[in-house]
Amino acid sequence: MPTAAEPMLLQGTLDLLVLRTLAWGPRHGYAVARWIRDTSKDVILVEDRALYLALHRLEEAGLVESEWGLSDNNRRARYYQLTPAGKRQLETKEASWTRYVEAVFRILQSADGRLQP
Amino acid sequence: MTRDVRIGGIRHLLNLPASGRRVERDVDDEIRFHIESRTAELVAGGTPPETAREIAAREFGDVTEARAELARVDRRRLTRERRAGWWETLGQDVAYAARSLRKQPGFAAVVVLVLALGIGANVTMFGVIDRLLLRPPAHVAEPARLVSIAMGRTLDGEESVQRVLSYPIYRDLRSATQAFEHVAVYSAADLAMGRGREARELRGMRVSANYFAALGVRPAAGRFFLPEEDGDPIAPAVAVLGHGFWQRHFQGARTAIGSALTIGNSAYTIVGVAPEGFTGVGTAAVDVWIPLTAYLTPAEYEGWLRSRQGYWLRILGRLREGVPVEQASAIATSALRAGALRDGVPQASIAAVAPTARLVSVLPREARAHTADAKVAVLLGAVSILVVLIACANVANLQLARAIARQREVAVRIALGIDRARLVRQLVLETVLLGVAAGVAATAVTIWGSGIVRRVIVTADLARDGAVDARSVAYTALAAIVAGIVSGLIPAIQASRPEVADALRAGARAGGPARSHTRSALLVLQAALTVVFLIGTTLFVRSLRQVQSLPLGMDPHRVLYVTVRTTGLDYDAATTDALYRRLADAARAAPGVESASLSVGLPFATTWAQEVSVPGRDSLPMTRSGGPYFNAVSSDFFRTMGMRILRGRALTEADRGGGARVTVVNETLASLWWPNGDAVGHCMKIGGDTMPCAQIVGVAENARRQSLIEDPAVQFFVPLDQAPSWLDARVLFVRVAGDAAKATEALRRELQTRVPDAPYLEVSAMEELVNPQMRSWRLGAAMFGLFGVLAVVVAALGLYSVLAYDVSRRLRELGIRVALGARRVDVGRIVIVRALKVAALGLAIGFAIALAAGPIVTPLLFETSAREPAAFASAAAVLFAVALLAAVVPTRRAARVDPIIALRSD
Repeated sequence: MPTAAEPMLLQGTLDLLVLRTLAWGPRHGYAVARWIRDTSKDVILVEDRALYLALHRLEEAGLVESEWGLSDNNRRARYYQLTPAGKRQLETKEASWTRYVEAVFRILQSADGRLQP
Repeated sequence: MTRDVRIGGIRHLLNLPASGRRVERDVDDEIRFHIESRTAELVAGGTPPETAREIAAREFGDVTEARAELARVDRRRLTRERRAGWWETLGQDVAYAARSLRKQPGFAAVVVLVLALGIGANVTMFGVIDRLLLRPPAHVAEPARLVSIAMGRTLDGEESVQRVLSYPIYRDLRSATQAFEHVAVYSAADLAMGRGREARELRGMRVSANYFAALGVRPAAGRFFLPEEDGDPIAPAVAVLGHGFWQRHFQGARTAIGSALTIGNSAYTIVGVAPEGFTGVGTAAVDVWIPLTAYLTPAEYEGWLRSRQGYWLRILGRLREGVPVEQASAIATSALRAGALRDGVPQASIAAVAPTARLVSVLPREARAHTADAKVAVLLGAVSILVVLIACANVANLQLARAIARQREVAVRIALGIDRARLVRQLVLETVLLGVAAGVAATAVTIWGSGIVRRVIVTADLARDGAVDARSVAYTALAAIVAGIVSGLIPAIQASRPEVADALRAGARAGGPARSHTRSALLVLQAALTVVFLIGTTLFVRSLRQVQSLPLGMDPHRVLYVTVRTTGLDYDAATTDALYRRLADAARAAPGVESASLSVGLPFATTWAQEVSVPGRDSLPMTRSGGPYFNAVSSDFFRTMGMRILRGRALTEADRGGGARVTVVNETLASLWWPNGDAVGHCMKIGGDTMPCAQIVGVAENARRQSLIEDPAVQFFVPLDQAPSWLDARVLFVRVAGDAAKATEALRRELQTRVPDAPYLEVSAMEELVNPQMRSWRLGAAMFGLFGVLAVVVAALGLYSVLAYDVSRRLRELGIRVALGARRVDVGRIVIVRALKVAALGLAIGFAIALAAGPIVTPLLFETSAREPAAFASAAAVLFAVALLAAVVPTRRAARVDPIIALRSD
């Protein structure tokens, strides 16, 4: 279950995760949620409401666009896909996020190294 | 970018949520889909359905709140997208419209021309009305609280309003401090700068020191007057310059302040400059303002204080905040009456005359709305809107004709699924674009048109402002866009009808009956409005002729009058008289001069009145114009003015100061006082019972005294040498051989050279006094005429283009008729009959409009009926002539149609 600290993490990363999820093609909101849950092996638990809010905000910002289509089981579902602006955003955000994570990781690594001389 | 557009378009066509409710339904669907999918997944994994549903709901979070949040975000996005989409497609549509116009430059040029003429006419009138009625006086703070104060009186049972008042009345009103923050006065005074050939005239204004404070205006440079510069007689001589004069004369240099300006014989220190465009509460530009009491002698000041009836000042009051006008007038009225009592006016005569203070706002719509100029301008403004409408009707007709040719294009676009609103917008944009182009062209028309208007109403001094300013540009833009929409809307709606596509499919070639009715209706409308203009033109021209043919009792066309600006010069009565006599002698010797004469009065400007008694009569009858009025004149006066002596003789050189007293009376006096026709030889005591007899030696033709339209007045003439010595006013009349208006500057130079020590001489044609009185009719005749010509040209163009187009489209049908044996005359007749039908219907409607508008126009006409049959008849003649003329070429084309054309297919 989400702890108090998790929303802080999600603020910056949820958008990135959603964009990443859509990078392989159009998906509906449920597929995005399942993909995040499955891929992170249940480590990242996103409240679905927050996920949909992120999707709609990204659409408002022009990073994704939506269209109604039919799901696998022939039901009406809203499909999201990246816009060119969304793709550019994903690239820059991904690069800077990776740099950031690597930096954090390096610091943690070197700290370990100093504790075990 | 292009991709966004495409997606936007698809969304637009397929699934753009149209309303807020739709947005909410979509959000609900999306949430339901999610929860049901999750539930199904869990159930498939072995969870019991109820538990699965609970888990799915818990994982989702607060559904109600989520719905609200998501719907809010979506609505915001949609609004923004829609707005952006609107602008984006507008840009595309403008480009599309421009492209389609570029394909038909001839059509575009004609439309621009037609609209430019219409809009130009309209904008020109807007400029006049704006300056005359709408625009508050420039730089005046809170003009709504500023009033001009006049005095209402009852004289012989008739109410009259005295707008120019005296110094004692000004002093009375100043005491009404509960009503006014300031009471200020001004009086226009033409001043002279320099002497002899160097002499220049200045348009001056004498004002009280608080004048600028009362108006709330701030100086552009320096300062305005101080209280002590006006209070005492012999105040320090200071001057404030008008901005234009400062620019022209001092090149706008700050160093002008503190320097001296010589007016008359006196030097004035320049203390400040008024802001640009400041003209007080009037419209006439002012070169220089000087204090009321500048170079005033104590004796003269005493004179001001004593002459309660000496009317020469205009009074302004700034109402105290929150004091209503009625209350202020009551306070001012009691101040007025108290002052009269203090000055020794008997209580009984105050009660009889009942003077009241009349407060009139200086805002032009209140101050000027009642003037004939303003009424004519407003009428012309309304009429100029009709001109635009005619132009619009014309353009609409051209567009309709084009729409028929474009059926195919429109049908294809409709088939491709273009939104009808958007199609209409594209089509309307074409005329709007043309309208804007016409607006630009109209600005040129305006500059030219304002030139004409200004020439007609020169004395209104509107001429000084630029023809094109921000207000007129804004108005032009508005007029251009509105005209574009008005002329484009009907054709666009017609062209975008779905039936158009059906018609195309059915292979029909005609535009459908509805469309051809619309076009005929537009043609008839144009013809009707043209008729209205033609009638209006005739009525105003006729009024102007009537006014011009009024017997004036003199011949102003060949007479000039000369006055000397003596303001600021210490001339006494004798010096003034001697100067004028020298000028009269110089004038007689000048080339092209037939005669010259001196006078104390100036018709249409100043007249004098004096008491007269006739021995043996208790009372003498007068006309409604009052009097008796008199003028003191030198010999040759009647010849110079062109006034005929009906009986007896004129005044001559022999009628000297010391000689026998004589007088010449006018027809009205003679017939009113001596109805038997034997006035000559009788005695008149001029100045009262105690005066000696003056013998009537002649009777002169009646001449105008103050205005073109007036009741005849009792008037007589005495020799200048026998006039009372206090009468030091002089005017020199000069009769020239040619057109007086062209001789003014030559005569001025001649006199200024011959009498080198004379100050600035003002030489004007008598016509300049007469013409302003004809201004409203002149304006009406000129503008109606101009609009009438425009209307005729535009209507003829419209009729021609529609007829020509119809013929070109019906060539095949006409060819068939000829092939089947129709005579060419009959074929041609089809076209002529159509033109005449339009003219006849237009005439009927136009007559109806003209008859209905009669009561509005009647008060603006002079001795002309608004139902003048000649006006109607000539309008009919012109309209039919124009219709036939417009039909000539299309008729010939129709008559010459080659039957072989019938065999050719489309």
